[in-house]
Order: sequence, then C-alpha cells, then structure tokens
Amino acid sequence: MTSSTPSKPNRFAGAILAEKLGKSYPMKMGPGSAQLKFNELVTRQIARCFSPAQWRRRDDRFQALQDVSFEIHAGELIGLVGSNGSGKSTLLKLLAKVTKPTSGRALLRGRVGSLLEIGTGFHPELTGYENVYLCGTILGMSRAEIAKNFDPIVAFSEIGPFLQIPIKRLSSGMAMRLAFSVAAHLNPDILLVDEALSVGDAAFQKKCIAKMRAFVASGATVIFVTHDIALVNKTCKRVLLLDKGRLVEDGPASSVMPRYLQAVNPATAYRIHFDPNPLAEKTGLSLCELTVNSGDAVRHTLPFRVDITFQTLLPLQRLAFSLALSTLDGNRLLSCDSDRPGEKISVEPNRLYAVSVTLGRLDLTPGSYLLDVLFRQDDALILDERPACLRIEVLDPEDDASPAHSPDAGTRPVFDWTLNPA
Amino acid sequence: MHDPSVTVVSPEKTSLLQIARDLVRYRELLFLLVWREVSVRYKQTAVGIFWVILQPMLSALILGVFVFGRLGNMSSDGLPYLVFAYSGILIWGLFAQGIDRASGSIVADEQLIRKVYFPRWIIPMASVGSSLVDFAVCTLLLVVFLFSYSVPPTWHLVFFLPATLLVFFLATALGMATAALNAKYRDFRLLTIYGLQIFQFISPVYYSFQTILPKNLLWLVYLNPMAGPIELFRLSVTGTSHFLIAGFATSLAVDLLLIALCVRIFYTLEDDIVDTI
Repeated sequence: MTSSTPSKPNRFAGAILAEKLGKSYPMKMGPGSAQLKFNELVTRQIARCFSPAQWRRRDDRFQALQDVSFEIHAGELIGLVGSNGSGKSTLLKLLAKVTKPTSGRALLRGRVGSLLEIGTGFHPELTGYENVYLCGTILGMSRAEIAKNFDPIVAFSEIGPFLQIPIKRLSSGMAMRLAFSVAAHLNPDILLVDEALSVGDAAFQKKCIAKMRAFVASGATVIFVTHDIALVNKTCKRVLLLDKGRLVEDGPASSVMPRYLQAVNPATAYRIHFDPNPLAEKTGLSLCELTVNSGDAVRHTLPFRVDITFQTLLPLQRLAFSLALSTLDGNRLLSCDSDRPGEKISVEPNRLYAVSVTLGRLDLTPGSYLLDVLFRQDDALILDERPACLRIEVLDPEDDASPAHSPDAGTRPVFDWTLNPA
Repeated sequence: MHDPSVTVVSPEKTSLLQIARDLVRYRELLFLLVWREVSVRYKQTAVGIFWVILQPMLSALILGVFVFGRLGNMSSDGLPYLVFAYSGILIWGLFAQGIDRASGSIVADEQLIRKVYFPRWIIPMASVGSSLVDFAVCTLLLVVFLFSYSVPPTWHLVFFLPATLLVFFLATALGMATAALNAKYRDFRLLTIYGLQIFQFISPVYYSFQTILPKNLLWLVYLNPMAGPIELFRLSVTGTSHFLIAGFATSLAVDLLLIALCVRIFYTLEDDIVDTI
C-alpha cells in the first residue's frame, strides 16, 4: 500500500486526533452507584428468561463522554476545563489507554506519558531508590533510561540523603516531590496531566508548570486538566471546555474561559456547607461549613469575618489555614495566611473545631469575588482545599444595591483628595 | 502498514499481534513487578527470605514424616517418604501459591490499574512469577534431601524444566482468569482458596494413588490437571519407575484445554476490568 493514501488512519499531521470519542458505562456500575450483587444478577437473569418483554431490553447506560472530536498539533499546551463530572478525567483516561472508548477513536503520535496521579506505582515499603525504578518503569521508562536520568531525578526532588529509607517513613511532601521528579523525567511526546498539579505547595506547582512549559518548548504536546482559572489564562493558548460529556468550546482561552466561568461559578451566597473531603481518611481533616459575616452581606470598608468549622480524623500538628479572594476570572487579590513563624497549631483527632479570621476592613472594590479556602500542614501538604467555593458580593456600605458590573480595579481604598495652595 | 509511533485508541480488542509485541515491550515491567512482590513480602522481617523455605519444610516434616509417613504408612512409589512428599509439596506450592497470589493481584493493584496503562495480564503473571522465585529457593532444600537420602540424579532431569514451565503457565492462566473474575466479583478469590485446598487432597502430593486405587479407576485421578505435572516433576528429580505416560497425557490434554479456556476468559474480561473493579 502506498504511504501517501490520505484515507489511511495513521496519516494525520498533528499530535492527537480524536474522532467522535465516546464512553458510556452501564448505570449499575456508573460513578457512585453500588455494584450488582452476584445473587441479584442471577435472579435478574432468571427473571429475564421468564419474561419475554425483557429479553431484548438493554441496561440503561450513563454517557460519560459523547462525540468528542478535536485535533491537536505538536507543541501545543492545552487546558482541559469543565465542571465536575463533565468528562475531563474520562477523556484523559481514554487518551492514556487506561480504559477503552465505547465509540469513536483517537490517534496519538509518539510516546504518551500520563500523569493521572502523582506517585502512581509508589510502594510505601520500598525505599526511595527502589521506588524511582518501580515508578519509572510503570510510567513507561526503560531501565537504561532511568539509570541515565537517575541523578537528575534525585537532584530535582531534593531528597538525596533519604534515598535509602522506605517511602512510608518520609513526609508525604517529600514522597510527592520524588514522585513528581520521576514523572518530570519521563520525556514523552505527549503528556497528559490530570489535576496532579493541584497537590503540593506553591513552589512545587511553579516547578511543575515550568517543567510543562519546557516540554512544550521542546516540541512536546501537553494536555492538562485544572480548575485553576488564572493558570489557564496564563499558560494556555488553547482551551477545551467539556460540559456533560460533550466538547462545547474549543478555542483561545480569552473566548472559552468566560463561558466556563459562567458554568462553574456558584451563585452568590454567604454560607456554604461542604461535601466531605474525599481524601479525609488520608489527610485526616475535612472542612464542614464556612460562614461569611454570620451569613450577612459583605460591605466595602467594613470588617470582614469568616468562620470555618472542620472535622478532624487524625491528630495533626503544624496546621496552617489560608483564605483568599480572587476576581471571577481567577486573579488573586488578597490572601490571609495563618502561618506565623514559631506558632504551632495542633488538633486532636475526631473532633469538631471552629476557626475564624477577621479582616479589620475590606477595601475591595464593590463587586463579585470568589473565595478560596485551603488548610495545609508544613507548608507542603494540602489537607483540604476548596478553591472558588463561594461567590460573595462586596456591597457599598451605604447602598444595598449590588453593583452592576465587576470592578475595574481590585481595591478601592478610602481616600481623600485635598487641594491646597502651595 | 502499521506505524509503531502512533497509538490507536478505539473500542476494538487488542490484536493478538499487539499482545505478542507487548510481551516483548513490557518484559522489564514484568520482572520489576515480580521483584516488587518478592521484596515487599519480606521487608521488615528479621530472617527475610528464610520464610520461603520454612513453610514447605514444616509441611513436609509434620504432614509427611509424622502424619502420613510413619503413622499412616502411605504409599510413596518406593521413594523415601520425605523425598516423595517434599517434591510434591514443592511443585504444588508453585501452583497453589501462584494462583492464590494471582487471584487477588488485580484487585490489590486497583490504584495502579486506574491510573496508568499497561497490559493487564502482567499483574497476575508477576504474582505467579514471585511464586516461581520462592519455588527456586525451595528447590535448594530438595537438593539437600535428595543428597542425604542418596537419590541419584538420572537422565529424567531433562523433564525438570518442562514440568516447571507447564505448572507455571497453568497457574498463570488460572491466575489470570480468577484475577479478572475477582475484579468484578470478590467471590472468586474465596472460591479459589477453597478450591485449591480441596484439590490438594485429590492430587498426588502426599500420597500416590497408583497403589490405592484399582487400575480401572486410576484414569479418574488424571482428570485432575495437576496430577500429571506433579508426577512428571517427581519423575524428573527422582527417576522413579512409577510414572504413567497415559495418565500424564490425559492430564496434559486437560491442562491445555484449561489454559485455552482461562486465557479466553481473561481476554474477554480484560477491557472491562478498569470499569468494573
């Protein structure tokens, strides 16, 4: 067969080509639903034999992804956004071959590296040294490649002296750094990253992003899933927006992000009851409720108070709380960190705590803002994080009417111009 | 023409050609997972790999020498009883332990399967591989027993590798099928454990059926897929004259059918594992 046949499936110019990709799950094993018990299955099958109407009936299916088509060229850095359950992770899993699509297909050129989770394949009983080899091989590196990159991996992770200790004895922050170092040296042609970046401290995230940019600069293609709006605006030229399993927008960040913001931003409220932290068993902490100004509106130049209750599962030391306000398009305006040197906050397990923070006065320009909450330990380990969990409105102190549009400038201090003859 | 640099994601099943390629491509991962299993098992133990030898040694001594050998006067095909029982325990151990570990392996590595792609059969195969390492260590003890009972090596030793490989692939196939089934219904692991216990007593591990059963019923024994391989293994290390070729052939036929069936089951279930686990 001639190599120039245009209809050949492998003939495509870009890095990734997706054609009508779809994935459906039987309802019975869809996300969150219980699996069918064996005896239920047997009784159902028997019942079917006796009721001809049911013979041809198929199980209901949940469509996680539907008709997703796009083409991505080598060297593109793509942000994949969408609200929870919109199919972002499913799409990455399909591209990474973790699960098979039920319809359509995709072609990926070159070596595909997937980072659906930091630390995949790490075994707690093995030493750092052993885990580098284990994790590297699982991610798709050959033994020779790992050996060649071993020193850079260790240097990047900055945990050199602890390399011969079982991973379970290291702090989770250290283990994560090592895990990321391994992944960073994978050098794939296509890299798929699922919210892996959202773990770790700011310095660590910066390192990850720098590494992704370096990948792209060297001609690799990166697709990453994130909820971080500012990050997408800053790094991605092109954004894919998924909604209920369909690709609804594909274009430059400037045109896609406004629609995303509309879809994900919560309605204005001053109190929120959090869903339990899915990682609570690991991190030992779950936020319960957050209240702004005892449920009242926030007013410009007046004190601003936030109360947060949380449930502990494990004893924790060196806790730090942080609260931040951002504009609707993700620009951070202010952040209040409880972290003061020398101050050590510890909590007991299985108790309910309340913590509060008060700002003397709020100079933010009246308008809508998003509130981020983050509880962490030791600077590095995130215990529970709720980005953009609440949309609040800052009102003028005298006027109850909410402002018509978003603020032009972030802050509006109280000021007084005076004119004097000099 | 297939372009190897292009990955195709589609609902189609993995082609047999692709599976063959994967065998080569993922061999390092297979060995590494075997190593992981062996090394994790004996981490933080004082005597480490010695535990491997201790378990079959105790079984051989207690069950073999005291219970069956001395008291029960079991038939052992004219071999010293300890040699007879230990060689049986050794090869049975490879089979049973391999399947036991493999059947739970995919569920145990659930996190891995959900997050990264590699051919799924590697996981159960690595479990059986780890049991092959144990087997190799325990073989050293067999050499000691053979030497101390003056059982000389014979030309039958050429069957050692074929018998071991046959058991390895049989255990791998059964392990793959039970592991995949277990991913959906955890019942299969329990079923496997009980099944293995029952099968041990109808296998020529601690006693030979050749002198117990009447000649016209003996063929029944060889419907057991492990009966033939155990006797072939014992023949290879001891050169015993009690080896029935017809019996072995029966077992071998059952084995091949079983391997084909199990691989088929795995192949059918493979793509659904990650969604149903």
